[in-house]
Amino acid sequence: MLKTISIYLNENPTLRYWIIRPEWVAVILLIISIISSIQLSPFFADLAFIMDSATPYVEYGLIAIILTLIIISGEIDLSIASMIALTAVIFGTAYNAGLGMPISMLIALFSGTLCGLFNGILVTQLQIPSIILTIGTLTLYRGIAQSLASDFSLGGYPSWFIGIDYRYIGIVPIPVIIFTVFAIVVGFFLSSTIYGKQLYLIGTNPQTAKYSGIKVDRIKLLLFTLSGLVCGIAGVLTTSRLAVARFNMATGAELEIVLMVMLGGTYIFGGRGNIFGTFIAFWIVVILRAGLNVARIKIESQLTILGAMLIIAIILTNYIYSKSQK
Amino acid sequence: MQLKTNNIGKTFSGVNVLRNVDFDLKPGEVHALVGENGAGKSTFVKILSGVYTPTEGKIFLDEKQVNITSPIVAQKNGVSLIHQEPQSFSHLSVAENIFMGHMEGNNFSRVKWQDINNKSNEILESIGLKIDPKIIMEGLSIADQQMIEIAGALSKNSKVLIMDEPTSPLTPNEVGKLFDIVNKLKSNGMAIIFISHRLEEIRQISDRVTIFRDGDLITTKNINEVSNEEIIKFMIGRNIEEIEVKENQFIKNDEYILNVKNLSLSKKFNDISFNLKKGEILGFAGLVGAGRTEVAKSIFGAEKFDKGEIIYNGETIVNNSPNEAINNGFAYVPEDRKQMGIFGPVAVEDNVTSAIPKEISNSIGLINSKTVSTMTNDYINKFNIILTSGRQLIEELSGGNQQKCIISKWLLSKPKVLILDEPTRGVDVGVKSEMYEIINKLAEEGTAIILISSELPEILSLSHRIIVMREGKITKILKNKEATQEKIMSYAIN
Repeated sequence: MLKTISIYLNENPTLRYWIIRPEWVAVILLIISIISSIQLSPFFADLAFIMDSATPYVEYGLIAIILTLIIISGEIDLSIASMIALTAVIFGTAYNAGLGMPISMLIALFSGTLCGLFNGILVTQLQIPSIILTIGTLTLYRGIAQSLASDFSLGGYPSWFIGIDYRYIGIVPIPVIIFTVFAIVVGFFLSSTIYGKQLYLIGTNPQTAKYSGIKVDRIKLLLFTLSGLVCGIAGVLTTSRLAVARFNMATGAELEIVLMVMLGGTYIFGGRGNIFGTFIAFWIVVILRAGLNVARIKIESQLTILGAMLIIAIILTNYIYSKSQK
Repeated sequence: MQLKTNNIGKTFSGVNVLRNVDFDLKPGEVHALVGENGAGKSTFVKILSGVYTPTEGKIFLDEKQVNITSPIVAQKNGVSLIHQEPQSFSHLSVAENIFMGHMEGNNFSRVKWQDINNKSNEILESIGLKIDPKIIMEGLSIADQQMIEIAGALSKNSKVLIMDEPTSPLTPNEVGKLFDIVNKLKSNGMAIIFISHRLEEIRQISDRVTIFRDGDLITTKNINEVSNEEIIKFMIGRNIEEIEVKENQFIKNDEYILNVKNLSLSKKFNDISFNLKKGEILGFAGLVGAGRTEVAKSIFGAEKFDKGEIIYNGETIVNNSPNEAINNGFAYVPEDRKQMGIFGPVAVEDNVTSAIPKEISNSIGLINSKTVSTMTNDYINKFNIILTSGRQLIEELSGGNQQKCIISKWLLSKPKVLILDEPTRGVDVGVKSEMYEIINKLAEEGTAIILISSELPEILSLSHRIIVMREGKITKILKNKEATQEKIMSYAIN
């Protein structure tokens, strides 16, 4: 039975392409986590509760979308969480120096862009593997944030700025809307435009991509820069949510963001994956985290469960990709 | 009989790729296997060397039935496979590579280096190779690495040596050296299976030849009882006519599209000057490592050059990247198909259209997938590419069909200057002649073609003029009429 199915699929590449896809794992995991959460607490049947639980993760979700593009093109950016903290601290410092809200925001976004550009230049020009380089800048950016802010919490923002997570359109918090729109736009870009297609080609075989006239280095540079910019946006959003900026914000968040991308079926060695998977994986993390909180599982133990999920996700993705190629 | 098979068959997910193979191999014999790509000869030797297990049939070694379930079992039974591309540990020494997997340790499991180096030396000397067993593998030529692999097989006391297209990465000179060794092994009683696409070599080295076609063993003949034409007929079931160099209307004009003047890149090539007409096929002959590929890459913008000038359509240009070169009308089909030619786990149609982003998308970058499939299907039909659909992954196609896809990809970019680097390497006879037709047709349509090839018959039957390179320099430019294999070789070697 299984054998006939596999032969049939091999003869129909289009069908195989649609059926053997790792993001179905994410969808199934999402359904399982929703069902088990509802068993745990009736709150989970309430959409508004889930929406509210999602807001603290939107900043991560935004970055996970860009990180999906980076991983598809065969690179990785681990300095993301440090860039959130650094841009937030720069934002707070600028505002407290009396620069005013709009200017401070611009400075935050600009400094994020610069950090990303710096990553990109080193990766493409010096050909340093991004996994090593961004571990370096992970430490560097967090260090700069710490020397700027010491152990102070930079606060004192106007009330209109604080608490973006408490503003809604209908029952949907504004950050969740931002995230969803962003996912749709980037997902469309990745799946339907020539630039998106080129990311997959670069990730599959950078040499062939170069010989095909694809501007591999320029595209990678752009992606890293974009990652910095989105981290800047996330830095400002986080400051709005928490009402303060500290150097140790989002500590360890890079792993949670990588989890979202991996869980969504993006292949760690590049060339495969999509935004739909990451979007679904975002909701898995949200529901899982909320579920674990409702079940009164300590934050410390939650990390164990997320780590285990990450490993399962990687094993399943690898398994499915090996199957989809016979 | 050293080796005998009875009714061997192999089925992959329902597809029967090998049927009823009855084969035998005597000690002290070189037995050639020929057949088009996909004929079953590779599957057969993979079964003998333990990479695959047969679906049916029996294998006998020294008249005893054996179950070869893994490469290790094969080696223990004295069957070794020499790969086409040597599989070596490039950061380890020659001796370590020879004894990989069966190094002996002393009582504390410490490797007996002295012992291993001495033994390596003995083996290397026995096949007439002067290589220090202590040097690192990395610096050795492909030919030497291949010899080391043979030495490794000898260190395991192999009785059956299977060589899978050993000559395809080698220069003619190196092939001669390899054949000396093969003859030496043969006289010591080694039984050798030799796979090659080159009939002259088979005639030169082997005693018997077995022909495969579509998974069947067609026949086994003594080599001096069968002509090349007959072998080819057995292989493909039809005749292949010799191709003559075709003149075309452009060649008569003196309209040069490309002038390369004194191009140099330190340690790679020096003072390269030539010109190229529209519609001309310019052959580049020479040994592997003569610098032909490097020149091509510099013209295509994939590598830099230090000195010199490239004049294209009367204007001096510099291609700073392949992207600029493509926009200027250049195309390059690389030698290393897997590393630089294809996107393996990607659909054929995305491969074929990967060099023409602007033609398949609109002004804001939206892909028109209908255009993508029509363009691909055009070439699938035109070049008779065998696949199930344009969405099939290119890595699932045979080498010849992959190469046709790559040629399609570059023709879609409508090049004025097309550089072909070993375009028929690892491609079977049938596809090869189709490829020659394509190349001639392109020249007739006015495309200027640079053809780099290590196969002299290929260069001779296609090129209008032939540039011979040696150690980074042009040693001679020959007109086709005055060129012979011997002449070319004399300029390529010394």
